[in-house]
Amino acid sequence: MEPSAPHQFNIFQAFSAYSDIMSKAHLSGAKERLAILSRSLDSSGPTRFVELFIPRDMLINQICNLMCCLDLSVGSHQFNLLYEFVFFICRENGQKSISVNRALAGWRLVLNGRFRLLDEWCNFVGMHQRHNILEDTWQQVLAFSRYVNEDLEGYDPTGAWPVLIDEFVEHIYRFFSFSVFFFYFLTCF
Amino acid sequence: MSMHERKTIDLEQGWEFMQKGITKLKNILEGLPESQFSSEDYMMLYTTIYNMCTQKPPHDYSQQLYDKYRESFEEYITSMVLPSLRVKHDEFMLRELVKRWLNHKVMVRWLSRFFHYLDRYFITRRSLPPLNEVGLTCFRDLVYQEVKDKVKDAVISLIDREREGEQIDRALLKNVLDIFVEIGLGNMECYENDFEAHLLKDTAAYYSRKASNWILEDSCPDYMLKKVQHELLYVNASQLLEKEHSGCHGLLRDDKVDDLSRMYRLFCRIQRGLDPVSQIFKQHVTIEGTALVKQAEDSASNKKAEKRDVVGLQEQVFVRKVIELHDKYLAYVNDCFQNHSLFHKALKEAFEVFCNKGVAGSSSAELLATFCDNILKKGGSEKLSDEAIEETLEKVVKLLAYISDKDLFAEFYRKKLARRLLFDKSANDDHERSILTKLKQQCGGQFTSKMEGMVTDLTLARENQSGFEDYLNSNAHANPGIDLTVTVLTTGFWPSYKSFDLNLPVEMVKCVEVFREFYQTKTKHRKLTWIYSLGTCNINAKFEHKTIELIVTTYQAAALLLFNASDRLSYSEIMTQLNLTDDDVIRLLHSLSCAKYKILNKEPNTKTISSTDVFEFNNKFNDKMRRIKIPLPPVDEKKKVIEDVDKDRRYAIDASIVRIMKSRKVLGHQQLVMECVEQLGRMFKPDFKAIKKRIEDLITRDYLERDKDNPNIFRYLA
Repeated sequence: MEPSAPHQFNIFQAFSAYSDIMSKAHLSGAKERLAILSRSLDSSGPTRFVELFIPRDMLINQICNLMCCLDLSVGSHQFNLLYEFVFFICRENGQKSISVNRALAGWRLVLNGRFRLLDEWCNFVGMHQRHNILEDTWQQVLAFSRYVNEDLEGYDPTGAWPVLIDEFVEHIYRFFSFSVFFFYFLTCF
Repeated sequence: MSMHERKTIDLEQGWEFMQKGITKLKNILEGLPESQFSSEDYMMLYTTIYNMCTQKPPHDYSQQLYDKYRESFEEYITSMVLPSLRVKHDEFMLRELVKRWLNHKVMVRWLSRFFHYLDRYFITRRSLPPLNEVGLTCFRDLVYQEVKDKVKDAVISLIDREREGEQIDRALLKNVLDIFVEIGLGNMECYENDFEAHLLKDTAAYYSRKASNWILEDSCPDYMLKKVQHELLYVNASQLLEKEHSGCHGLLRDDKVDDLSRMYRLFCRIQRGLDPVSQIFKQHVTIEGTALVKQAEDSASNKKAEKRDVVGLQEQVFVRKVIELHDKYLAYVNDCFQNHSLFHKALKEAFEVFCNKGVAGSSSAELLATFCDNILKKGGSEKLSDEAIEETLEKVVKLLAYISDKDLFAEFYRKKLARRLLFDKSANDDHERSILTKLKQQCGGQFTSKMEGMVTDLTLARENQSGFEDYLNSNAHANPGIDLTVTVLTTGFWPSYKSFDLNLPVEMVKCVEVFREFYQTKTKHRKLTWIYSLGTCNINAKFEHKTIELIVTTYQAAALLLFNASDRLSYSEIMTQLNLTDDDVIRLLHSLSCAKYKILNKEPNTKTISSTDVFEFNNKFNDKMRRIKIPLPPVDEKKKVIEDVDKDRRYAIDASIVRIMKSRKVLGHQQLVMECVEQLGRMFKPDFKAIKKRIEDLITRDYLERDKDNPNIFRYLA
């Protein structure tokens, strides 16, 4: 990998470096290498860059470009990698979480067409979540999106889902029972 | 038509008319096609009887009609009822009898209406048996007497068949037995003599017959245990227990202690026989306890409207009642249920249900802590002997076992203990130590270590104080001219308090310095933190009329001393000079200018404090007492206690998860949650969401990670 010049952030290079490290994630030192990459990105500035100009759009556009060039068929390894990469690239200064707004933009982009409750999920998170999104939550959302349908069949309340997902399911159930009631109400009159 | 114009009806002619009506009635009863009686029919029949009874002798046919009334029944019975009964047997005969008896009652009702005039006049005057009775007696004399033996045999054979496990028509049985009862017209002789005596004899015979069979089949102990229990109890157990009035519920409700003991002795012989009994016991206790909670809720909500200060009393009553309830049913467990573990468990589970409900926004943990405080403090709401106090404390501690938030209790208890100790409100040192011993026995040493530290601190502080007084006596130059008592405490034992907030008046600053010097002579490397919010001052206030000693808090005293230098001070001046928060300033100014004793005059003279108010020393203040205490209401600490406990819980959950994962390395989510709940259950009942949140936090902090292939499994990262 060519060392990228400062101020010239190239998302393709970043992604290839990231996948390189992740493909050897089982080796020791992967964490350190990720941290180094993260620092170099911080200094070359996708996030800084983003902070200075139009924040979200820039990074999101970049990710968009990247997505066009990848094989993202359902269940492909590349997609999983991309999903995790989005979290990685959206972090600021090596934090372990990303802001709600950025997470929402990321989800809307990456999970588009892959998560039947995407709209509901994003609305719910936008309304109810004040704290940043943790990496574990980010990852579990992908698993959750694959696991459940609109009717939430397959969701196990005793499972290890993050609390945010549990709360989302409760919210959907409440909404669902309300809309059933509402539908009933309409048909009665 | 009037009397004299009326044509005399002779018996034959009149009866012919009546006969038609009676035949119609019989046809209806027999189910033959026949139109229903109209009200006109009925009126005509009644009128005919009326007329025939009101004609002048010899045309008054009352006696004849009375006889004919009876004959009509006799005729119907002999021609229709008896023949139909005679051809039927056993169960079919019973069914026929039930049907006939029902019909007969209908017939009596209708005929006695037709002939009603006889009842009103003729029968009353001659004291004859009334129509209704005549009708029923006919059935008894003609039908019942004939068939009763057959009926009895048929019924008993039915019962025997059920004893052998056959399904029988219980409704039929009940209807037949009703006949035995009703036929007595209000007395039970028929039932008792014609049926019950036989049944009892037969039952005895049945079981002795059974017994001899069983004896042939089984060894003696087997016989005693297996068979008798099975046949007599097991089969009927649930029915016996659930009988509404005399079942287990009823016995508990009516406190039938002897019957309950008997029930226990019977059911403990059946395998798993006590399970339903203990379930009912649990239900019963839960219902009673929940009723107490409801009652306390109600009285608390009624009370709120009036005065909030007195609310404590309601809770006091509630805890007392819960203790009484516990005493009562613990006695049941010990005596009636012979200390059986199943019933201890039932009692525990029942109390856990309603003891964790809380009353009117106060958790039960808080209620119990308040209850203890009221008992242990001077002038508490209850006046009890030493023995009674000991006993009550013992019981409160027992109740605590049912409370899941023991940590919350501990925190509330500690707050209240602190107040008792620091403000010298504790009534008796021995009781304080005794309850701590009890708590320690039940909840472990960790639970009480801080509280014990607090009590010990206070003893040490007293020694320290006398040392300080000696020091002052021997160093006359050091004496600040004010009596000073300092209570030195160990930070970790006590609840956390705000420190160093108040700008102390110079007089007091001197005191603090003197003490610090003294303390340094005693110990090295110890840091003193002064908590003025807990201090009390006795100050002499020179009013126009006389000097009065005021007992106030350090905050209040500091505020009052400001007026030695200025006559008038505005709210904001007071606030800056004291360096306190708005909350504190409002609270203390209110106590000095708006409450019972108005030491300060406020402009404008209103009931509340606002930031634009101006204050002035009230030189005209007077009171008949030479010494008065001006209370400063304590801040409501409830919210802070709950927050503190929540924070502690987060640490406790973290520690527990890490402990478990450290030893297990890899563990499924559910198992981790279960073990965590189990570990922490001694102190509190963590909810699943809280545990999950802590797990997520530990993942972020790299203590745990999810398994790559199964997100429901966690790994410990060393």
